[in-house]
Amino acid sequence: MTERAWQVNGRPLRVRFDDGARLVDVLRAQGLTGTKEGCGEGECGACSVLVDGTLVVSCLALAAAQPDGARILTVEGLEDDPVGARIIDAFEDLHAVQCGYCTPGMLMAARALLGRDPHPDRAQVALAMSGNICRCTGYAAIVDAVLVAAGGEGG
Amino acid sequence: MKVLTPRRLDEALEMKAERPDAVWAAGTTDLLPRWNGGAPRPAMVVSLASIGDLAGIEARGDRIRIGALATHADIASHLVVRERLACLADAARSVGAPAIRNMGTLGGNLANASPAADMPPALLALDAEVHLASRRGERGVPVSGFFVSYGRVDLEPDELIVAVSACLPRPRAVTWFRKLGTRRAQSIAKLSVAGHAEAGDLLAHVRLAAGAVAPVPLRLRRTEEIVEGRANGHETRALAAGTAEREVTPIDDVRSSAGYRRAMVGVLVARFLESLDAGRV
Repeated sequence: MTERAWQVNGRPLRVRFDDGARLVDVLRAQGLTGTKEGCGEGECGACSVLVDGTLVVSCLALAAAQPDGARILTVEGLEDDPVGARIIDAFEDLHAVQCGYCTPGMLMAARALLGRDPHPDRAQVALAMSGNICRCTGYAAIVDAVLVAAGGEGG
Repeated sequence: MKVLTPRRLDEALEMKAERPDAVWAAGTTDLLPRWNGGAPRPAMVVSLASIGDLAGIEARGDRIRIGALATHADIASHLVVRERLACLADAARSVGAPAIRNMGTLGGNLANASPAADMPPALLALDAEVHLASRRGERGVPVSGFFVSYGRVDLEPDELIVAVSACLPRPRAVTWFRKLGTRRAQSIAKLSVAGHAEAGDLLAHVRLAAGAVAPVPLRLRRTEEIVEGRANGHETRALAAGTAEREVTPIDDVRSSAGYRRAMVGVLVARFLESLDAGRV
């Protein structure tokens, strides 16, 4: 077993897990079930979270490789974050959610993008979301919503 | 499965020397899909994630040294790489998607030993060297000698890839990388080609390499030799394309066919040579 003390969504969280556990499983076992597992191969992006501000797919991350003190942001913490809240609002306003399964990952990829580039253009948004698959194929509204959250074109 | 998380390189090398059956883990973007897919997990894993000093990229004089734990995102965004090593920046940008580039490392891309990996052709075109460390000391291996056979690299059980280094191309030189896949993101290459040459009246210092067209990432040495010193015209390009097509040994698989791969190696080699002309004013 491995023990870690992380900052998850701004709050300290002590976790204990099997050495080989994946980050997605450890987070979900803590009740943070907003993070979805889609493909389990890093292809679909549904399990995306931010670790120390960097977008990762939690199905391909070993929980043990995240050191004590790692700052993890999941979709549950997004509302408390000003940029995250804007992204959520834009997804609601533009109906950028269909079945919703990809939405947490989409929101996290958008948050990672706006964290490093507050005013991306459409091509930059598409590139930043290129690892996130929406099986309802609602991409146009999703990209629009990220642009609106960034205060630019779209809508 | 037990996971060890050393903080220093010497600790990591000690652990691996004592347990040569342990598996190194870096970004785990290749290991976890394998394990998630049901492949047997090793009894012990040495995770390198906490060894920060293996992730640096250092350009000094005419050489660049890239730590094995530098991610593809680190490499693609590094100023010197973007300005002087276009082939490497473009190869790094073509890996997976943003999250995969944030996780996957250069050392992992090499150690995974896939003939379809994106970084090796670019490194081959740069005559790069792989630096290996173990408790016994360090050694360097040219990238061209590192890929031994399908899925196998020149790495002893107690050794770790610690860095890759290369000479910065001369100011007149152009480096180039193209990958063909089903879409731009999240594709494993159908094939890829990297090129490096000095633009001038005659082709000089030509380096060509290709991925996913042989059991290992392949230097196209015969094609290099045949075009070196020639004027870069239509005839030379046709000769280069034809030679490259005969030099590769592609297979049919789920991603592409041998015929397509063979034909496209020729096309991409010719396009690289054309790009040299386009760069001249």
